[in-house]
Amino acid sequence: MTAPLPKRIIKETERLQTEPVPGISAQPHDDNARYFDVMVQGPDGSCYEGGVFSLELFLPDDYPMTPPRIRFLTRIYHPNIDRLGRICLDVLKNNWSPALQIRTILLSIQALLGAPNPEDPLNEAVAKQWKENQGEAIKTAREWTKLYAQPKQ
Amino acid sequence: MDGAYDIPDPTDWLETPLKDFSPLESALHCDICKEFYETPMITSCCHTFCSKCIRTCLSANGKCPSCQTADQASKLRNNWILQTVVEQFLAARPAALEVARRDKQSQEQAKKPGKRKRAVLDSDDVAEVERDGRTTRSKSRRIAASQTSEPETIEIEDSDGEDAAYSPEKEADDGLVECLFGCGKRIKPDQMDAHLDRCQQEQEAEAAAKRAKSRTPISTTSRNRPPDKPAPERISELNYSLLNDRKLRLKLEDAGIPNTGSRQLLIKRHTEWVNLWNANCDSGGKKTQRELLRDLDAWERTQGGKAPVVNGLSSTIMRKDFDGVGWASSNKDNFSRLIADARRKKSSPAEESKEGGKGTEVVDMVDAEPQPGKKLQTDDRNGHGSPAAAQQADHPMENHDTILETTNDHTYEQDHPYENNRTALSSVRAKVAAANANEPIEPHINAGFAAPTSPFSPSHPNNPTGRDPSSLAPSGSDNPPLLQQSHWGQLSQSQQQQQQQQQQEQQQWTTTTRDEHLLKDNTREMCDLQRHHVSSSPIKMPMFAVPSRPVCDVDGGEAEK
Repeated sequence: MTAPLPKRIIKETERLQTEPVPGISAQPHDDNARYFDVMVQGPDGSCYEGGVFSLELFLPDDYPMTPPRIRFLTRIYHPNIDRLGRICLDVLKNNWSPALQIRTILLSIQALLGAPNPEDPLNEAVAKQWKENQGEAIKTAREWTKLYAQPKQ
Repeated sequence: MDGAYDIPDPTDWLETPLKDFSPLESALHCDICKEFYETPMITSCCHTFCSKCIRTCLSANGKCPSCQTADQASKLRNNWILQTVVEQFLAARPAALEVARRDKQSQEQAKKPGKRKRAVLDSDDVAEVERDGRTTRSKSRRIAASQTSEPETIEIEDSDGEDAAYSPEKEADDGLVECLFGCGKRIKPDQMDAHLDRCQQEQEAEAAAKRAKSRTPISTTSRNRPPDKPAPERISELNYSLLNDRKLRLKLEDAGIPNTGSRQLLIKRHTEWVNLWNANCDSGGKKTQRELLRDLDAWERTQGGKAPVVNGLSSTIMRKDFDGVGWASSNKDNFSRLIADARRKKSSPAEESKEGGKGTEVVDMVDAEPQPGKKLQTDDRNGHGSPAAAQQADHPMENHDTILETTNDHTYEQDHPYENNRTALSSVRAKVAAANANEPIEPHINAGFAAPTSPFSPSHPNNPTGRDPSSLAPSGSDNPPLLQQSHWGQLSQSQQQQQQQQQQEQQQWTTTTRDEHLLKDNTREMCDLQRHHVSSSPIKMPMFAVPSRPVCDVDGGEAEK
């Protein structure tokens, strides 16, 4: 048997459906309400603009005491996201607080797309490129966005 | 959708004229559980949460969820006034919501009679969905409101005569008879008469009390004062690091909770118990110990020792950031035991049949890979690696804990600690061979240190230990070298057998070790699965020799940032 679904998860899911955050969608799976398919639009004005990135999100059994597990499924050229799609974001790790929720975390991720931080890199190669030749890096990021993150028709 | 999905929500107010009630209701919600405050407690940084929520949170990381200030559970204080506000709001909510909705309906009907439904459909699909959800909910709410307002007051009575309320469901098949007057108590048949007399008197007294209470307009506030009867005392938190396993078990026994399982599980269980107990104390002891034990049992089944293992052992071990050194050291006892066993029945053919048995079991286990692992499969196009790995990659230690927990919990893994751990298996085999040759176990390292390039090449596929079997038998050995070699032959044969039986499993590995494949892509090396597993053993590296490839994966190390 699996853990019964806490009301908090139901509430969060319901709120995500009824009042979706602009540019973000999160759909729970039918057979596992702790597992979400997430779509995040690249923020306007960033090099990820126009891209639609898919992520997976899983709420562990002890959520909200532990942060949700999130990972990019779409390839992305970003200094804080590695090749496996794992994300380096403080609120997903040390700075997690039970007062945060799926909605706020996804907003933080969208904000991270808008403001890459090569000083605290997860993907060394990208971060190096970002620091040494930012123009080139941004160009690559745009190309990757075109290549991998096009919304499905 | 069953009743569990029908929950009051601040958004209920949004389509009514009373929109401003939505933020008001939100303000009465705990930030952790997102429900109405239940026994609200105020922290030393003046934030308020449910008692159980904040206690669980503080025992997890000792910080206030709102401002990240360090705090202690012992400094929590009851926020009585907020509790009253929440209770009164909850009591008033159904009626207020109904009035608000009726008001809205009449307004709409006045505006566009007969066309209401149509208009909504036109305006917005989302709104339509929302409306539907709300309508059903509001209906059930109205029904609930008409029914619950009465039981609400009865519930208050419960805190006085709690024993009566809880016994029936718990002891349904104990051969006792329920009281004929319906007080809920269960009595031995021969004591029924005596009880009935007492019961009647009690009920009369109770009815009188109820009448008296219903006359006083502030009946509910009486509940918000600290109750008159002495509340159960809070348990202090333990400093678990000061207790050894035996003392810890005793503590759990004293507390009246199960004391089985690994040390980590014991600590988790005791923490949960302390939180449950103290939260109950905060509420003035509304629940009986039996109820608390039931809560603990629910925890046990979902998050404790009986919880389903989300990731099979195989996938955990095969993760690239798996803590091989920790695993090796924590299983040192098992290693030594196996070596001793092997020494005892050396060159007995039973070993081979055992190997075969193990092989099939491994396949079974892989088949039984739990759902979440499968769910996290990604599509190949993305080029991202092992799904299970990524899901848990950020918490290598946590995973390690789970492994230890399962191993100590008398599960399958405990009896077969080497399943899926090829490195361990091959290293044990080498040690057995060495032991048979009466060689000390250590020379393995020495050999590698002396000649890092020669037999200690990890890439020898048929010889997973990387050692030339003939070198195991020193010249002065009791056993003739020939016997050694034939014994070795047996081992590597069984190894091959195992390989055949585990072809299915290999497929699994192909997915779980894709990270390493990606790494190989960078170095343009040919990928050889078998070699990965052999060469990735951190424990066999000579202490001062430079490893031929990084022991830890680069990505894995970085992920901790």
